[in-house]
Formats: sequence, structure tokens, C-alpha cells
Amino acid sequence: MFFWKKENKKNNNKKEEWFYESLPGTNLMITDYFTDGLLIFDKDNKIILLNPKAEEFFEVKEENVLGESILELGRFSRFYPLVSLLGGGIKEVFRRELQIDEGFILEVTSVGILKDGARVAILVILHDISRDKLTQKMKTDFVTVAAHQLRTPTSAIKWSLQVLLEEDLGKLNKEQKKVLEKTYETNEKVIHLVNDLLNVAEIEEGKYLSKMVLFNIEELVQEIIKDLKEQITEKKISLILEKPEEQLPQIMLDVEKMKIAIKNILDNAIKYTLSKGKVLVSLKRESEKNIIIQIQDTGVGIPFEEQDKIFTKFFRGSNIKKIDTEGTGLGLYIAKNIIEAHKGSIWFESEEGRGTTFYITLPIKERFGEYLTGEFY
Amino acid sequence: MAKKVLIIEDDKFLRKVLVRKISAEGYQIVEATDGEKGLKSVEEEKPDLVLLDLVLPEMNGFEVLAKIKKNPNHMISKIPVIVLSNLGEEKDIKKGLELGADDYLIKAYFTPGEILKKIENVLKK
Amino acid sequence: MDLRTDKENIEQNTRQSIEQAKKEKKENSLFEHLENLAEYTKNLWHFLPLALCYLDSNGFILEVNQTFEKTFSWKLSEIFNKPLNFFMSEKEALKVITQALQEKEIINEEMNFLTKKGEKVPVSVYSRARKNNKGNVVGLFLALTDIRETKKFQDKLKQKIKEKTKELEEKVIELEKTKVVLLNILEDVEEARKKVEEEKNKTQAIITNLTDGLMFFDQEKKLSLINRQAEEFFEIKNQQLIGQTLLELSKNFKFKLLRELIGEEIDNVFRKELKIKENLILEVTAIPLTTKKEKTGNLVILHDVTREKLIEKMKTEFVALSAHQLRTPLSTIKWILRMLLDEELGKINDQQKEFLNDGYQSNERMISLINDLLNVTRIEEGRYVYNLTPTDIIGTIQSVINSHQEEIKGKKLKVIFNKPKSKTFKVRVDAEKIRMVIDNIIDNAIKYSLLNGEILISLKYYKDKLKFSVKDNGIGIPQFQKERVFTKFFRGINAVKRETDGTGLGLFIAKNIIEAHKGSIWFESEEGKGTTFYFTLPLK
Repeated sequence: MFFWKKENKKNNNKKEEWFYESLPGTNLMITDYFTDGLLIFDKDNKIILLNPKAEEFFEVKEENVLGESILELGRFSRFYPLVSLLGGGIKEVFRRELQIDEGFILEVTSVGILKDGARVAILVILHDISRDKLTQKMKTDFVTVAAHQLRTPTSAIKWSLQVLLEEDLGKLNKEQKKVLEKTYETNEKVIHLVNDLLNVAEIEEGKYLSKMVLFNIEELVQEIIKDLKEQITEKKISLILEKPEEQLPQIMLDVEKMKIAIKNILDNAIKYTLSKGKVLVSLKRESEKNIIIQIQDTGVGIPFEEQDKIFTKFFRGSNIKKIDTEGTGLGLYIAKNIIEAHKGSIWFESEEGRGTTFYITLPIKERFGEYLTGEFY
Repeated sequence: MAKKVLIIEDDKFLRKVLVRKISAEGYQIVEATDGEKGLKSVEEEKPDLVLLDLVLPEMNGFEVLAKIKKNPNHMISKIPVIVLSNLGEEKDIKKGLELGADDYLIKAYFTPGEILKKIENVLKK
Repeated sequence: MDLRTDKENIEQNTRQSIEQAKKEKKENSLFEHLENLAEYTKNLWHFLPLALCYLDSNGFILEVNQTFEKTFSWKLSEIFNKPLNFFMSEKEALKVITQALQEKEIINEEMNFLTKKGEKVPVSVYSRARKNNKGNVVGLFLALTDIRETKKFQDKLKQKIKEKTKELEEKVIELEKTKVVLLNILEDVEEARKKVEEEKNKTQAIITNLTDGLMFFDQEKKLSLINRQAEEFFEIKNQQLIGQTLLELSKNFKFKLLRELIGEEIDNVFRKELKIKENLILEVTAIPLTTKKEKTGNLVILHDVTREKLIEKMKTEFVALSAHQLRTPLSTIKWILRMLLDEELGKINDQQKEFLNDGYQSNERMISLINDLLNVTRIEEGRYVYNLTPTDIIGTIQSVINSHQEEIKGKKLKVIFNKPKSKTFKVRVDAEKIRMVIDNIIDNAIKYSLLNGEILISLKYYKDKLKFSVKDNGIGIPQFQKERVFTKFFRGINAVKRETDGTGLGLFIAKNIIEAHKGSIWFESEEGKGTTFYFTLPLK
């Protein structure tokens, strides 16, 4: 143990005396040198120590706040997020991220110290992760910026190719046409990829769900089926929608995102089912708490040894590349994240050559706060 | 005698384009769609040059490269390999060159014509 | 009468006389005996140091001995025939007599006896009746023990005992007090100890929950303190490390790694990462501690960043993979359009060519953008590793010019390269990145030049640096935008109007590269007249 005796120049009765073994030759307080911010509150939740790093973080001087309760500290704008997080009773948290200011993010850990079962003090440790976050953000920024920047050119190419393919400018021979179509398809892929990457980037950012409203899941599913009607008819897939007689309760959804999630899965079901196959979509109330959606196909299935990778980024099953060369490999990753962001769950059963069934549960009870803070990741 | 070029590339279309371009110049082409098939072809066909993609199903391109360049049979290890990949990280390029690739080309930066030129340069040596 | 008779008579007489004599002697000796005996008894009587008294059967004093007289100051003559109850109380007297008559012993009973002086002296009485042959009581013997002294002694003893008891009690009380005090002290100590424990716990709590390893090296660079977390990081529990220098500690592989990171001198503040082992990456912060006068030592803080590094790694991989995933379809598009444009699949007319070319160019821009963005990400992270090798700059410049031949011809530009006249030598730079900068600057000059323009490229060597410049007489940069030229995504309005491609990242990256080489980059420009870009690189 090696803290130094603190020369308590600060004349404040409310401050506790910290006695430590003194390091020979020095009279320095280690907490002064911590690269982390440190706050210590006594059993009445009043602050008794604020180290220099913490002073820097919060732009306050220790001597000006000693003895104040945590709630009183909330009057300082930089303290406010911390106070919100910990509350007046100072709850214990582990490595929680907290945005203090623009570009300034701290990782907060708070720990209570007990004596004879009662709490005598609480430590709050603050680690500056702004740089890490910034770096991470830059990476996702790359993806976001790239994606945005790519929208314009891809649109331009799409348009040019359409014009060329319609032979408005001149005739094309068979080969030329074929490759131009391929180009068009490929460009479409870039567009999809760009969209998916944007979604993934948003997921990485952690601020994924936006507007949550009460919505009828049946309606949502029916909308999706409508969007996919063309492919369904083209492939002569028989799609059945099963839903209960009684209307299912409405649930809190980010409609746009949930649409993407379910569409991704249903799209897969249709894509990977051969002509004249069957797809069953069923909606049910699983329990008091959940609604369950089942999407079952008679398609190619997922090879057993690949099943654990299905939800990872960019993964594409080995047996589907031939069917759909343009898939991005991000659809399921995105779907999973959206569903879990809604506090739901997703899993599947599959047998190669026979088909796949995806299950999605969504909670009926709405939990506002959790939805809005986006803290699920 | 026509020089033989082995193309190890899993993307059907890109492979087609390359095959078209290179065979038009009079080269004999051998195709492989993954690493294992590629290595087999190297053993059996003994090409004069290998065009190797890195992102392949199952075995990745680096493994294939290592297996070729570390092959105890000198006839195989001396075969020049040009890496042709869209992986452009510095560490990837470094790794490729260290493993013995004669060149590392990022697909998106080179047209098939330019790639052909590179092949010619390497075969001249 | 005869002779015989005489003889007989004489014998008889003699006998008689002898007998008489004997009788008389007997009587005499008897008498003497008696006298002796009487004398003896008398002597004994008076000798005994015990006060003796002889009473008749009615309890009247007949005899007392000298000790009696001495003890009680009575002369026999004064008390002869006085009753016992003259000296004692009725009760007592009665008791004595009755006890004696009953032949009971009075043991240790305290009674009082009157002295001549009028005092009542405490005595212990022992009485015994004297009986004749027939068993009748003829008198009483009393033995009286003056227990004054004894009593005094007793009293004194009692007193003493009392005193002592009191003393003892006091002592006990004192002891009690002391005990209380001690207990108080003990309690205080206990409290203090608990408090210390508490402090310790708090301290421990801080240490533990900070999950930071802490080490302190004193002025002599010897390890003065090391906390548990640091020990855990280095996997060196319970070893005597205190007092050793970092060099000595380096016998342990992990410390060796640390030392290599910090170097001999740990006098500077720095923060670096260290991979101690698989799944443990530490961020090492070294802080020299000084008081006003002198340096007191160095604090080394070790922060576990394994998780952060993992996240970073994952994100980096995602970025790289995204880039790859984007490049793949773009390569396909590029190759196909190229094939079509080169008429490898059949002829195309001019209009078709134009559209195809537009598509091709757009696609090229996208490819470029991805690369630029990746570079930006790398630079900003500081991950842009510089690989310094001796480079022939002139060769690089020439190569760049060559690579732009098509565009130069296309715009009919005149390009002049002023090489240094003296013998050229290689410069230690990151060849690839410097090439990027040169390429960027020349590329810009070409792009913003008008038809038939002129570009002057020069390279000059000075004693401590080299200077590179590219001058064009193109569209120039408007005054109000000059500030933003090196910022991310900047593209001059003019440029936008001219629809030149370019992502606007080139100069941002170029600036970072040049400055990373400790050089400088700047420009001069006038709208409508042209621009000159310069950079310098130091020569070691």
C-alpha cells in the first residue's frame, strides 16, 4: 500500500482524513496523479474527494464542491449526465459510457464500499474514452461517408446504364447487352451494399432506433408481403399468412427499421426457395409478454457447419452464392440488431435441402426508457 | 509454346472477364474457383504464372500463396504469383509480398488490360 | 527376765524404736513430703503466668495467684471471700460456675473481669470444678487469660484488615478504572484499526476497482512500490521485487517488454501500448513526479485496454472488409465498362461511348473515394505507419509525371521538370506516401489547368532540406477559400463548377503525410491566374 499522507490544506470539516502509509521521501497524493478521474462520496452521498483529473473533466475545483450532495452537483452542466446516470442514491454501475460533452465521453464505474453490511463510501471512477470513441466513430464515419458519397455515382451509373440498355443511343449486340445487364445488376448491388453499410454504421454508433410508435405488426407484415409480391409471383411461390382471429395487441416499434428486419428475412425465404416452393408466415401470441413471428420456407436451407456464422457481418452461406450472387451478407446481422434493439429475439432451425424456419419474438410491454437510450449494445 | 496462366478466383464474372482478356492474347488459361482446387491445378498443370485472389471460400489466398511458395518442389515454388485482390490494407500487401508474391494488384485499380501488362512484365523476367 | 527376753525386749524395743523411728521418720518425711508438696504447689501456683483463681463451692474467692494479682491489680487480701459476680456480670459469673459444675469447657468465650482500677478487662475464662472423693464439688478453679493484648491485637488486626481491605478495595476500584481506561484505549485502538482497515479497504477498493496497475520507481530508479493489480498483470505474486531497478527486474520476460517500451529513461511523460501476453494489452503511462525542488521518482500506471483494442480491431476489420466488399462490385463494373469501351465485345458509337465513359469515370471516382477515406481513417488514428527508406525523389516525380501522360496529352499541357543540377542522392522518406503527395499535387495541377496550359515542376536541394514545387496557370483558388484548402473534403467552388472529380481528401492527406515527415506544405494562388504548391522535407 502506498498512498501518501495528504497534507490537508483544505480546511473543510466535512472532508474525511485519509491516512495512508507515507512513501519515504515524498508527500504526494497518488490520486493527484491518476490518469482517471476519481470521485468519492461518503455514506450520505456527499462528495469528499475530487481528484485533479476529475476537476479537469468537470471543470470544477474540488474545494468548491466538497461536502455537497450528488444532486447538488447536478447544477453543473458537465456533472449533470453523471448525476442522471447514478441518481441521488448513487447506484453501482460497471463501465458505462457517458457523454459529457461534444466529443467528450467517459466510461463510468462506481463501486460501494461496505463495512458491516452498510455502505460507508462510494467510489466513482471515470475513464476518458473520447479518443477511443472518436477513433471508432471515425471508422464508422468512413463507412457512413463512403456510403453517402457513393450514392450519387451509383445513381448516375444506374441511369446511364438504363439509357444504354434501352438502346436509345444505339443498338447493342447480344454480348454487349449481357454484360451491360451484369453491370446494372452489380451496380444495384453497390446500392444495396451502401444502404446496408449505412445501417450497420448506425448500429455501431449505438443510436439505432429512432421513432418508436405503437403499431400493428400484422399490418407491417402485410406491407412487406405486398412489397415482395413481384418476386413471389415470378417464382410461383405459394405464400401463406397465418394470423389469429383476435387482433394482436399493438406493440412499440420503430416501424421503418422493423420493416427492414422482417423484410430481410422474408426476402431470404423467398430468394432461397426454389420455384413453386412454399413460404409460411405466421403471427401468434406466444405468451402474456410476447408475440412470435414465424417465417418458414421450403428452400435450400443452411448447411449445418455454417449455422453459427449466419448472423455475422458479410457472411453468406456457401450454397446460396449461386442463387443470388449479389447478396451483401449484412441482412441478417442488421435484422438481428434491429430485433434485439426492440428487446426481442431471433433464432432459426434449418436443414440443408429441406428448408429454414426463422422465429422472431417481440415483447408486447412497452419500455420507453430502454428503447430511447439505445443502450442495448 | 503458349504460356499457361492459372486463375484462382471465385467471382464468376471477374473470372470470365480475365479469362477472356488473357486468352485473347494467346495465353492458355486454367481456372480454379477455390484454394484447394487451385493448389491441385498448380500441381497438375504447372502453370507459368498464377493469378491469385485472396478472399476465397474455405482456404484463404494467403494460405494458397504460402503453400505454393514453400513447396519443396522447386518447379512449383518458383512459379510467379500475382495477387489480385480487393483487400487493400497495408498489412495485407506486406503479407502478400513477404510470402513471395511477385506483385500485389488491387482489382479496383487495374483494368484487365493493365493486369495483362503486369503479367507480361513478370513473365519476361 | 531373762536374757532372752532382754534380747527380745531389746529387739522388740529396737524394733519398736526403729518402727517408731520409722514411723516418726515416716511421719516426718511424710510431713516433709507434705510440706515439700505444699511448697511446690504454692510455688507452682504463683509461678504460672496464667491468672488463676480458686473459688469455694459457692463462688467466693479463696485464692488467687500472683499473676492474677498482677493482671487485675487486686491483692488477695482485698478480694478474699468476694463473690465472682463482683468481678463479672451476673450472667457471666453464673455461666462460669455452671459450666464448671457441669464440667463443660468454656472455650474462647470472651468475658469481662473487673480490675482494681475499675476497668473491665476482656478475659478468656477456663473453669474447672474440684471434687472430693465422694464426687462433691469442693471448689472451682478458674484460669483467666487476659486477652487485652489479644483483643488489641485483634482489633488492630481488624483495623489493619479493614484498612487493607479498604486499600484493596481502592486498589480494585483503581484497577477497575484502569481496566475501563484500557478498554477504552482498546476500543479506540480497535476503532483506529478498523478505520485503518476501512481506509485500507477503501484504498484497496480504489486500487482494485481502478483495475490499474501502479508502480513507483524512486529517485534511484529502484522499484519502491508495486500494487496487486500490477503484480497480477505481470504474474509475479509474492516475490521480492522492491529495491530492484527496471534493468534488474527485466530478468522477468514481461518486465523486459516493459523496459523495452519505456527505455532506460523513464523521465518523460508518455503513454504507449504494450502487449504483455495473449489477451492482455496494457496502456502504459509513465509520469515523472517532482516536488518543487527535485524529482522524487516515476509513477507507472498500467491500464487494461484489451477490450478496447478488441473493439478497435473488430471495427478496423469491418472497415477493411467493407472496403473490400465495395471494391469487388466496383471492379466488376470497371472491367466490364472497360471492355465495352475498348470495343472488345463489339463496336460502339460515339454517344454510347460518352455514356459508357461517364459511367466508367463515376465508377473510378468511387474507387478513389474508398481509398481516400481509408487513408483518412488511418491517418487520424495515427496508425499511418511510416516506412522510411532511402528514396530517389527525382525518380518518383518522373514516374508520377509519366503516369499522367494521357491527361497531359489530353489537355495539351506543357510540363517542365527542373531537376537539381548537382549529384542527386536518396532521401529517407516513406516512399509510397511521398509518391501519393507528389501525385496528388501534380494531379491537381493538371486537373485545374486549362487547355494548353503550362506546368512547371521543380526540385531543389538545400543544405538541410529539399523543396518541391508545382506551378500551374490554371483556374486558381479564390481568396476566401484559401484557408480551407487543406481541410477534409474541401473542394474549391471553381473546381466544383468545372466538375472535375476529386474527392477533396487529397490535400488533407498530403498535409498529414508531409507534416509527419516534419516537412511543410503550402501554396500560393490567384484566382484565374494559377496556383503553385510547395513542400519541403528535411534532410537529416
